[in-house]
Amino acid sequence: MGFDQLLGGLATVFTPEHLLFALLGCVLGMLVGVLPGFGPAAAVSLLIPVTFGLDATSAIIMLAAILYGAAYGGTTTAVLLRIPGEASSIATTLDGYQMAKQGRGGPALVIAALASFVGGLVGVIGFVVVAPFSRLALEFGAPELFLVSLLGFALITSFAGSNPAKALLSAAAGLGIATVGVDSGVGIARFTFDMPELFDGLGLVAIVMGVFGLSEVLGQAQKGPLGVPSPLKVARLLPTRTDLQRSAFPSLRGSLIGFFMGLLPGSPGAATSLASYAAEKRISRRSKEFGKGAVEGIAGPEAANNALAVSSMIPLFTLGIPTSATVAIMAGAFTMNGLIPGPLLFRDNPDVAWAIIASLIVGNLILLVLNVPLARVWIAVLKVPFHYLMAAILAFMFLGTYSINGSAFDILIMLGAGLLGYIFQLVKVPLTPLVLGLILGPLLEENFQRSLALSRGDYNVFLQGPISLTLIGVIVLAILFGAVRPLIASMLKKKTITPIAPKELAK
Amino acid sequence: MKKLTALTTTALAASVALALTGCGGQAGSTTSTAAVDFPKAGATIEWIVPSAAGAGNDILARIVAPAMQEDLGANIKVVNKEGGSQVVGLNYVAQSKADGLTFGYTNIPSILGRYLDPSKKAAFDRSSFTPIGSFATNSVVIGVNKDSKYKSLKELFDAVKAEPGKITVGTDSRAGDDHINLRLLENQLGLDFNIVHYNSGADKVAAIVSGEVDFALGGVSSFFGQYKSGDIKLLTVIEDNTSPFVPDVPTMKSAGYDVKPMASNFALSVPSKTPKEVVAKLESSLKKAAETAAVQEKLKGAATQPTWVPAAEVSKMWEERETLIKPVIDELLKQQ
Amino acid sequence: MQTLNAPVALEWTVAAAAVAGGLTMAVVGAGYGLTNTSGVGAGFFPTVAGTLMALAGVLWALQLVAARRTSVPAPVTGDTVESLPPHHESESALVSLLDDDNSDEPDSPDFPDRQGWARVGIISGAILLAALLLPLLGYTVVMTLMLGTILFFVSKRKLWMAALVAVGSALASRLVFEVWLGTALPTASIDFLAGLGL
Repeated sequence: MGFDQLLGGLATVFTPEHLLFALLGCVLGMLVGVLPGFGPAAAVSLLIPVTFGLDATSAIIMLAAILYGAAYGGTTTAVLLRIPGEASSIATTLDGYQMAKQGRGGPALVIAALASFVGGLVGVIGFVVVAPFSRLALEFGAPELFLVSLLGFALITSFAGSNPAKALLSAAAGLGIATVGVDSGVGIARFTFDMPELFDGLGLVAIVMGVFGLSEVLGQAQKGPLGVPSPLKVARLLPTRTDLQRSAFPSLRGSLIGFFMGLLPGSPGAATSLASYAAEKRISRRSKEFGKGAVEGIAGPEAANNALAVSSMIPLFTLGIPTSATVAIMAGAFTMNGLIPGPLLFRDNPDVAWAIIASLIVGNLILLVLNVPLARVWIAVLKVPFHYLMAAILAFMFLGTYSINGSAFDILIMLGAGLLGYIFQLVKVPLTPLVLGLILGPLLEENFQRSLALSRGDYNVFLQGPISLTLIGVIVLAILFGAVRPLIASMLKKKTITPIAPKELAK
Repeated sequence: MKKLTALTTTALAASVALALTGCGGQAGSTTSTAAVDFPKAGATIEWIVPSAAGAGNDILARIVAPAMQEDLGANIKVVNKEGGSQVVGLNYVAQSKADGLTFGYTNIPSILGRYLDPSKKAAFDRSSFTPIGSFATNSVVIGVNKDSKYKSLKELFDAVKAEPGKITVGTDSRAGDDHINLRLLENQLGLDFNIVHYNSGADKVAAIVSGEVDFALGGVSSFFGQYKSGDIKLLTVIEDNTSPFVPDVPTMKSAGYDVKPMASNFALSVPSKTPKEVVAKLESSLKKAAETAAVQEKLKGAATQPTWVPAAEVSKMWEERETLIKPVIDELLKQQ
Repeated sequence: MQTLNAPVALEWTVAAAAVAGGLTMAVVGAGYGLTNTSGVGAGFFPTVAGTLMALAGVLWALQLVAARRTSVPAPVTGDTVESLPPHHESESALVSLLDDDNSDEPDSPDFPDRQGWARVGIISGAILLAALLLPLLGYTVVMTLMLGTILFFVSKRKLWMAALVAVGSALASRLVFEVWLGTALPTASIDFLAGLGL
């Protein structure tokens, strides 16, 4: 494996036929991905029949293109309408939507496209470098994954807002919602009220669309009077030089975070972009601007997202193990085309393998080229008067939520989550901890129970091995930084500016 | 270019079909008159997949459906109804109109776990369905890490006997096929495993490759890639005869353990009140599709053995497996 | 004794609901079994989540009490706690280095008046009814009714305009999803409507 083969692969991809299918895949994926509820996984499986009859390389190039095309489509709605088309776009809504509100939707979309490209590029380069060692990622067993999830919880302090009690409430609510369904360890149905629809738990996508998307529509609708059309203003389309400068390092850091997380088995994709967001917020000198339209808050997560999409293919290519539902569908696409994912791919069909890897770069480039001009088209959506736009958004959310599982029940979940999100916003409870709790809760619980099942109840299983010990060290540091540092800061602050000492900091 | 034309034709065909269903409607009730010319030209038939789009089940459906569609001259739509560990989708099939326009997966043995467990609140049982056949099978195998100290099934099971409850084994889900099959093995051979549940077949395979669990049991398709690459060694296939798919893997019988075959079948069924003529028509069409060379090729590509099992045999097998598995599920329920 | 204004009342309600809901979750959760042969049982995590939720509710209530006590003279706006001016210029370098004031709640919507609540209610009600009636009336009818209701009552469009847009979008979206994406949208289970192809 090496860069020579990658160049060879690039040569294979740069034939008109393969480029055409990559383009077609990007466009189709993007169009389907824009529909709320249609994430990459759904888009690929919907469009698999379209690739029947193509040769294996073209088929998989096209499916891969659909995959990241759909991921990009989700970003568009996240920025413009605050509807995360899938869970991994949540981080993008935080600053992207704020930028759109300030008339900077164009720059937000372009930055997202650029950062995605950087993420994809870093992902592919990392792919070539890391692939031979990818087996090491399997050292992350159940106990290590439990600790990684725990570390994820330390992130919540970054999304806590100014009120820790409210953030705790939000996170605990998320954790609680996550426990609905049949317990994975013992098999008891929890909080299911004998409804089969609840056995597998509440759908993440339905909740995320409700909590972020619907709550926003309700918040806007409540303001009224909607009789007066008030489209959002659309200023310049392209990002400024400062925007680009501010995005450069976040993109790179995001790429690295995403790349690493993608290697882990069962990695929490949705939590990864939030992790990148949290990291940027901590590092940035402008952390005050986060949540109010900071480009760093788009660049980091988007790059992380795309690097993850690429690196999560590594275990599939090298070990034949799909680490996420989305990659599992790609695995299906491989086998259907007579390719066995795994080390044999490089032995038996190296041309195909490298062509596909190279196509990841090309596809991301196509997306970049497409999306800079397309941003103008998407932005036009915001010029639609809100009283019509709102109806259209509601229709699409209704449809999209139904289409996830073909069930009207998910619409009710989306509605419930939307009302919860709306009330939370009224009383200023932050929403991100809820989603983080929801994503990390099951990972935490399952890996905890699995670890103990493996060790037959011996808690020392969490303390064995260098990885576990390192992780525990990092968790302790994160807690120190996340909780203790602000506490010291607030005590110092209290001393310096006693006149308006805030009440809750005294606690 | 070819691609684009194919796309437009499908879109056109689909829109024509939609228009036709719109006019023709489903006004006809379940009387036998409707069955005479089943399916009406351009009718839409729903193939219910009780799992998410892109799941193994779903991909197989999307391979077979086009061939059936061609044979029937009707539009077959693969519809995903996920939820409730497949109960939601199965309920939907069981309660749909018995006019042959809705059929779905009733995979054996996985469907047994859904309705034999009363807490799953399934609104169906065996009598709710009439099978139309099974187009593929998935043999059950036992695999270990390539560096495992257990070189044969006997070594593995002897180790289990020596230290009951110590040897770990991974499953793809709690109360899923793997779990039930392991309990069957435990009961029939007097063994005691430490069963650890994972979230999916892929997670289970990862646990074997990394050596987190000592061995795993499951459908051959989930191990196929790692078996081919040599990362996983298959110790046995739980069949009476060796599988043409993994010809070098010994059967459990040849290792001296008397255990009934555990293969799972990708069976399809319609609601039980569907007219006989309609069932026969669907069966012959499914058979034709399953025996199409191109379809078989794709199924094999997806690491699934194309094996045609006629409807009558599926019914019989369903009944047998139910008798066999019911006590195991009852016992699992008692443990909760 | 000062009467609570609406935002503060809502804060109290949510905090109380969190305590009640959290305790319920913890108690019901504990019933699923806290321990198991190997490690924790099915009830462990629900109990932890419920306890944390109740704890958060209590902390919040304490904050509300504190806020009420300090701001008696000034009108309570409900977000006294949040409305700290960003007074970072005046701080020492050490403070700004250590400070970590994360605000994740940008301009949350203003508090709704009676009409605002009505609009939120109409939208939620329309979605609720639409979801419930979906299996009965089929997608096309339900979507038309839902959009029509929202456009007429919330967006205050003229009736004919609302109806036209609603029918148009329902048919167009059905076309996109059924014909191009090949997914199945629910049809009516009432024979009359089904006969019309809806």
